[in-house]
Amino acid sequence: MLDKRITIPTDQLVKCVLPMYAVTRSATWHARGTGFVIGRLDERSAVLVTAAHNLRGLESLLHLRPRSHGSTPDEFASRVDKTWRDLGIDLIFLLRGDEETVVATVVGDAQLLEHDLAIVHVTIPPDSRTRFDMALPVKLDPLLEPSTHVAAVGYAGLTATSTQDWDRGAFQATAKFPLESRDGRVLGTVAPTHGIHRGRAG
Amino acid sequence: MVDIAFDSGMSGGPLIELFGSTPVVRAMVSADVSESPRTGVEASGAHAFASLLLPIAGLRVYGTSITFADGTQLDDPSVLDLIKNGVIKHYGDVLETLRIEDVDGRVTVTWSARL
Repeated sequence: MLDKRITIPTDQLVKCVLPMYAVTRSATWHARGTGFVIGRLDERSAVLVTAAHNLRGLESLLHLRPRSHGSTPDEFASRVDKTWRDLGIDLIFLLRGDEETVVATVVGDAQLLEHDLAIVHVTIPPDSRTRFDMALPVKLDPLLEPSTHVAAVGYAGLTATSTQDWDRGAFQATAKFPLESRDGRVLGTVAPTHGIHRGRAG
Repeated sequence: MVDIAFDSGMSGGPLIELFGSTPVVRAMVSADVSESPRTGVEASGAHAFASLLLPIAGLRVYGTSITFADGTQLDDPSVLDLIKNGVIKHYGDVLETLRIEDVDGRVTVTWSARL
Protein backbone atom coordinates (compact mmCIF):
# COMPACT_ATOMS: atom_id res chain seq x y z
CA MET A 1 0.00 0.00 0.00
CA LEU A 2 1.39 3.41 -0.95
CA ASP A 3 1.71 5.91 1.84
CA LYS A 4 1.80 8.92 -0.47
CA ARG A 5 1.17 9.85 -4.08
CA ILE A 6 3.47 11.66 -6.42
CA THR A 7 1.57 14.55 -7.91
CA ILE A 8 3.12 16.50 -10.76
CA PRO A 9 1.09 19.18 -12.52
CA THR A 10 -0.03 17.87 -15.91
CA ASP A 11 0.47 21.27 -17.56
CA GLN A 12 4.18 20.95 -16.73
CA LEU A 13 4.49 17.33 -17.77
CA VAL A 14 3.00 17.79 -21.22
CA LYS A 15 5.69 20.36 -22.02
CA CYS A 16 8.53 17.98 -21.29
CA VAL A 17 7.11 14.46 -21.69
CA LEU A 18 6.27 14.06 -25.37
CA PRO A 19 4.61 11.40 -27.56
CA MET A 20 6.77 9.92 -30.32
CA TYR A 21 5.73 8.88 -33.83
CA ALA A 22 7.42 7.53 -36.93
CA VAL A 23 6.23 8.99 -40.24
CA THR A 24 7.02 7.04 -43.38
CA ARG A 25 7.40 8.40 -46.93
CA SER A 26 3.83 7.28 -47.58
CA ALA A 27 2.77 9.91 -44.99
CA THR A 28 1.63 7.22 -42.60
CA TRP A 29 1.98 7.87 -38.88
CA HIS A 30 2.98 5.08 -36.49
CA ALA A 31 2.91 5.39 -32.70
CA ARG A 32 6.32 4.60 -31.21
CA GLY A 33 6.44 5.61 -27.55
CA THR A 34 7.41 8.44 -25.23
CA GLY A 35 10.39 10.74 -24.75
CA PHE A 36 11.25 13.45 -22.25
CA VAL A 37 13.14 16.72 -22.54
CA ILE A 38 16.27 16.91 -20.38
CA GLY A 39 17.85 19.99 -21.89
CA ARG A 40 16.99 22.96 -24.08
CA LEU A 41 19.77 23.87 -26.49
CA ASP A 42 17.71 26.91 -27.44
CA GLU A 43 14.03 27.75 -27.81
CA ARG A 44 13.83 25.71 -31.00
CA SER A 45 15.93 22.66 -30.20
CA ALA A 46 16.25 20.28 -27.31
CA VAL A 47 17.78 17.01 -26.12
CA LEU A 48 15.39 14.23 -25.21
CA VAL A 49 15.82 10.79 -23.71
CA THR A 50 13.79 7.91 -25.10
CA ALA A 51 14.01 4.13 -25.35
CA ALA A 52 16.48 2.89 -27.96
CA HIS A 53 13.96 0.32 -29.12
CA ASN A 54 11.61 3.17 -30.10
CA LEU A 55 14.17 4.07 -32.78
CA ARG A 56 14.72 0.54 -34.03
CA GLY A 57 12.86 -2.19 -35.86
CA LEU A 58 11.50 0.39 -38.27
CA GLU A 59 11.73 -1.92 -41.29
CA SER A 60 8.50 -3.55 -40.14
CA LEU A 61 6.64 -0.27 -40.73
CA LEU A 62 7.53 -0.42 -44.41
CA HIS A 63 6.55 -4.07 -44.87
CA LEU A 64 9.84 -4.70 -46.64
CA ARG A 65 10.54 -8.19 -47.88
CA PRO A 66 13.64 -9.74 -46.33
CA ARG A 67 16.73 -9.47 -48.51
CA SER A 68 17.61 -13.08 -47.71
CA HIS A 69 15.69 -16.19 -46.70
CA GLY A 70 15.28 -16.80 -42.98
CA SER A 71 17.28 -20.00 -43.21
CA THR A 72 20.32 -18.24 -44.68
CA PRO A 73 23.24 -18.48 -42.26
CA ASP A 74 24.04 -15.19 -40.55
CA GLU A 75 27.48 -15.00 -42.14
CA PHE A 76 25.86 -14.86 -45.60
CA ALA A 77 22.85 -12.72 -44.79
CA SER A 78 22.59 -9.03 -44.09
CA ARG A 79 20.88 -8.72 -40.73
CA VAL A 80 21.97 -5.16 -40.06
CA ASP A 81 19.18 -3.13 -38.49
CA LYS A 82 18.52 -0.16 -40.76
CA THR A 83 18.23 3.23 -39.15
CA TRP A 84 15.47 5.79 -39.61
CA ARG A 85 17.85 7.70 -41.89
CA ASP A 86 18.51 4.63 -44.05
CA LEU A 87 14.78 4.02 -44.41
CA GLY A 88 13.77 7.63 -45.07
CA ILE A 89 11.54 7.66 -42.00
CA ASP A 90 10.97 10.84 -39.98
CA LEU A 91 10.93 10.41 -36.22
CA ILE A 92 8.91 13.12 -34.55
CA PHE A 93 7.63 14.21 -31.16
CA LEU A 94 4.57 16.37 -30.59
CA LEU A 95 5.18 19.40 -28.40
CA ARG A 96 2.10 21.00 -26.91
CA GLY A 97 2.17 24.74 -26.40
CA ASP A 98 -0.39 27.19 -25.10
CA GLU A 99 -1.46 28.17 -28.61
CA GLU A 100 -0.57 25.25 -30.84
CA THR A 101 0.95 21.80 -30.94
CA VAL A 102 4.02 21.52 -33.13
CA VAL A 103 6.11 18.74 -34.60
CA ALA A 104 9.61 18.37 -33.16
CA THR A 105 11.71 16.45 -35.67
CA VAL A 106 14.61 14.22 -34.71
CA VAL A 107 17.80 15.43 -36.40
CA GLY A 108 20.29 13.23 -34.57
CA ASP A 109 20.50 10.39 -32.11
CA ALA A 110 22.87 8.25 -30.07
CA GLN A 111 21.91 4.88 -28.65
CA LEU A 112 23.01 2.41 -26.00
CA LEU A 113 21.30 -0.81 -26.96
CA GLU A 114 22.34 -2.83 -23.92
CA HIS A 115 20.62 -0.33 -21.66
CA ASP A 116 17.81 0.47 -24.12
CA LEU A 117 18.72 4.14 -23.76
CA ALA A 118 18.83 6.78 -26.49
CA ILE A 119 19.25 10.51 -26.62
CA VAL A 120 17.80 12.44 -29.52
CA HIS A 121 18.36 15.98 -30.76
CA VAL A 122 15.11 17.53 -31.99
CA THR A 123 14.18 20.83 -33.60
CA ILE A 124 10.88 22.63 -34.18
CA PRO A 125 10.07 24.94 -37.11
CA PRO A 126 11.42 28.48 -36.71
CA ASP A 127 8.03 30.06 -37.39
CA SER A 128 6.12 28.12 -34.75
CA ARG A 129 4.55 29.89 -31.78
CA THR A 130 5.42 27.03 -29.44
CA ARG A 131 8.84 26.82 -27.86
CA PHE A 132 10.73 24.43 -25.64
CA ASP A 133 10.37 26.14 -22.31
CA MET A 134 10.68 23.26 -19.84
CA ALA A 135 13.07 20.40 -19.18
CA LEU A 136 13.14 17.76 -16.49
CA PRO A 137 16.17 17.63 -14.18
CA VAL A 138 17.95 14.28 -13.95
CA LYS A 139 19.85 12.39 -11.28
CA LEU A 140 22.41 10.03 -12.80
CA ASP A 141 23.26 8.37 -9.48
CA PRO A 142 23.11 4.62 -10.23
CA LEU A 143 21.95 3.75 -6.71
CA LEU A 144 18.19 3.55 -6.50
CA GLU A 145 17.15 1.98 -3.23
CA PRO A 146 14.44 -0.67 -3.13
CA SER A 147 11.08 0.67 -1.94
CA THR A 148 11.89 4.16 -3.25
CA HIS A 149 8.62 5.81 -4.22
CA VAL A 150 8.56 6.67 -7.94
CA ALA A 151 6.12 7.58 -10.71
CA ALA A 152 6.28 6.35 -14.29
CA VAL A 153 5.00 8.85 -16.85
CA GLY A 154 4.13 8.06 -20.45
CA TYR A 155 1.56 7.89 -23.19
CA ALA A 156 -0.22 4.61 -22.54
CA GLY A 157 -2.44 3.70 -25.46
CA LEU A 158 -0.69 6.08 -27.85
CA THR A 159 -2.29 5.84 -31.30
CA ALA A 160 -2.33 7.59 -34.66
CA THR A 161 -4.41 7.29 -37.79
CA SER A 162 -3.52 8.97 -41.03
CA THR A 163 -5.10 9.42 -44.44
CA GLN A 164 -3.51 10.35 -47.74
CA ASP A 165 -5.10 11.76 -50.87
CA TRP A 166 -2.18 11.85 -53.28
CA ASP A 167 -4.25 13.24 -56.18
CA ARG A 168 -5.27 16.30 -54.20
CA GLY A 169 -2.09 16.43 -52.16
CA ALA A 170 -4.13 16.35 -48.97
CA PHE A 171 -2.79 14.51 -45.93
CA GLN A 172 -4.24 14.23 -42.46
CA ALA A 173 -3.09 12.54 -39.26
CA THR A 174 -5.07 12.23 -36.07
CA ALA A 175 -3.06 11.43 -32.97
CA LYS A 176 -4.39 10.32 -29.62
CA PHE A 177 -1.92 10.62 -26.76
CA PRO A 178 -3.35 10.30 -23.27
CA LEU A 179 -0.66 11.11 -20.68
CA GLU A 180 -0.59 8.88 -17.62
CA SER A 181 1.36 9.02 -14.38
CA ARG A 182 1.49 5.81 -12.38
CA ASP A 183 2.80 5.51 -8.83
CA GLY A 184 4.77 2.61 -7.47
CA ARG A 185 7.96 1.48 -5.81
CA VAL A 186 11.37 0.25 -6.80
CA LEU A 187 11.67 -3.51 -6.23
CA GLY A 188 15.39 -3.84 -6.89
CA THR A 189 18.08 -3.45 -9.51
CA VAL A 190 19.15 -6.04 -12.04
CA ALA A 191 21.82 -6.20 -14.74
CA PRO A 192 20.77 -4.77 -18.10
CA THR A 193 19.16 -7.14 -20.56
CA HIS A 194 17.18 -6.98 -23.74
CA GLY A 195 13.53 -6.79 -22.76
CA ILE A 196 10.38 -7.73 -24.53
CA HIS A 197 8.51 -4.67 -25.59
CA ARG A 198 4.82 -4.49 -25.65
CA GLY A 199 2.56 -4.14 -28.67
CA ARG A 200 3.19 -2.00 -31.72
CA ALA A 201 4.06 1.15 -29.83
CA GLY A 202 7.07 0.78 -27.54
CA MET B 1 12.64 -3.32 -11.49
CA VAL B 2 9.49 -1.57 -10.31
CA ASP B 3 5.94 -2.60 -9.40
CA ILE B 4 4.34 -0.30 -11.98
CA ALA B 5 2.61 -1.59 -15.13
CA PHE B 6 4.16 -0.19 -18.31
CA ASP B 7 1.62 -0.27 -21.13
CA SER B 8 2.30 0.04 -24.82
CA GLY B 9 3.29 3.62 -25.62
CA MET B 10 4.93 4.36 -22.26
CA SER B 11 8.39 3.15 -23.33
CA GLY B 12 10.90 5.95 -23.16
CA GLY B 13 9.00 7.89 -20.52
CA PRO B 14 10.58 9.16 -17.31
CA LEU B 15 10.61 7.36 -13.97
CA ILE B 16 10.39 10.23 -11.54
CA GLU B 17 11.30 10.63 -7.88
CA LEU B 18 10.24 13.71 -5.98
CA PHE B 19 12.88 15.72 -4.13
CA GLY B 20 10.79 18.08 -2.06
CA SER B 21 8.35 19.30 -4.68
CA THR B 22 10.82 18.95 -7.55
CA PRO B 23 10.30 16.03 -9.95
CA VAL B 24 13.66 14.50 -10.87
CA VAL B 25 14.14 11.76 -13.46
CA ARG B 26 15.93 8.70 -12.04
CA ALA B 27 15.37 6.21 -14.87
CA MET B 28 13.61 5.61 -18.17
CA VAL B 29 10.64 3.29 -18.77
CA SER B 30 12.05 0.39 -20.77
CA ALA B 31 10.19 -2.91 -20.80
CA ASP B 32 7.43 -4.87 -19.15
CA VAL B 33 7.53 -8.61 -19.71
CA SER B 34 4.41 -9.39 -17.69
CA GLU B 35 1.61 -11.30 -19.31
CA SER B 36 -1.34 -9.50 -20.81
CA PRO B 37 -4.52 -11.54 -20.66
CA ARG B 38 -6.63 -9.02 -22.56
CA THR B 39 -5.41 -6.85 -25.37
CA GLY B 40 -1.72 -7.56 -25.61
CA VAL B 41 -0.87 -3.90 -25.09
CA GLU B 42 -1.70 -3.69 -21.40
CA ALA B 43 0.62 -5.04 -18.74
CA SER B 44 0.31 -6.16 -15.16
CA GLY B 45 3.56 -4.62 -13.92
CA ALA B 46 4.76 -7.95 -12.57
CA HIS B 47 8.07 -7.64 -14.42
CA ALA B 48 8.53 -4.01 -15.33
CA PHE B 49 11.99 -2.63 -15.95
CA ALA B 50 13.34 0.90 -16.11
CA SER B 51 16.86 1.82 -17.21
CA LEU B 52 19.02 3.94 -14.90
CA LEU B 53 20.31 7.02 -16.66
CA LEU B 54 24.02 7.01 -15.80
CA PRO B 55 25.13 5.41 -19.09
CA ILE B 56 23.82 8.37 -21.11
CA ALA B 57 26.52 10.58 -19.59
CA GLY B 58 28.92 9.60 -22.35
CA LEU B 59 26.50 9.90 -25.27
CA ARG B 60 27.11 12.81 -27.61
CA VAL B 61 24.68 15.25 -29.16
CA TYR B 62 26.04 15.45 -32.68
CA GLY B 63 25.52 18.49 -34.84
CA THR B 64 25.45 21.05 -32.07
CA SER B 65 27.94 23.05 -30.06
CA ILE B 66 27.99 24.75 -26.68
CA THR B 67 30.03 27.57 -25.21
CA PHE B 68 31.32 27.41 -21.66
CA ALA B 69 31.58 30.37 -19.30
CA ASP B 70 35.29 30.77 -20.08
CA GLY B 71 34.49 31.13 -23.78
CA THR B 72 35.58 27.64 -24.75
CA GLN B 73 33.46 26.22 -27.54
CA LEU B 74 32.80 22.50 -27.77
CA ASP B 75 31.32 20.69 -30.76
CA ASP B 76 29.28 17.50 -30.39
CA PRO B 77 29.09 17.78 -26.58
CA SER B 78 28.37 14.77 -24.40
CA VAL B 79 25.49 14.70 -21.93
CA LEU B 80 28.08 15.21 -19.19
CA ASP B 81 29.33 18.34 -20.98
CA LEU B 82 25.75 19.61 -21.18
CA ILE B 83 25.35 19.06 -17.44
CA LYS B 84 28.58 20.90 -16.70
CA ASN B 85 27.47 23.70 -19.01
CA GLY B 86 24.10 23.99 -17.27
CA VAL B 87 22.03 22.98 -20.30
CA ILE B 88 20.91 19.87 -18.39
CA LYS B 89 20.07 20.27 -14.73
CA HIS B 90 21.48 17.52 -12.50
CA TYR B 91 20.78 16.53 -8.91
CA GLY B 92 23.23 14.74 -6.65
CA ASP B 93 27.01 14.47 -6.37
CA VAL B 94 27.80 11.37 -8.42
CA LEU B 95 29.28 13.56 -11.15
CA GLU B 96 32.20 14.53 -8.90
CA THR B 97 33.65 11.04 -9.31
CA LEU B 98 32.46 10.37 -12.84
CA ARG B 99 35.10 9.75 -15.49
CA ILE B 100 34.43 9.19 -19.17
CA GLU B 101 36.99 7.64 -21.51
CA ASP B 102 36.27 7.79 -25.22
CA VAL B 103 38.72 5.57 -27.09
CA ASP B 104 38.04 5.01 -30.79
CA GLY B 105 34.32 5.48 -30.27
CA ARG B 106 34.13 3.04 -27.34
CA VAL B 107 32.98 4.99 -24.30
CA THR B 108 33.74 3.78 -20.78
CA VAL B 109 32.01 5.45 -17.85
CA THR B 110 33.39 4.87 -14.33
CA TRP B 111 32.32 6.32 -10.99
CA SER B 112 32.44 5.64 -7.28
CA ALA B 113 29.60 5.74 -4.79
CA ARG B 114 29.05 5.13 -1.11
CA LEU B 115 27.08 1.92 -0.46
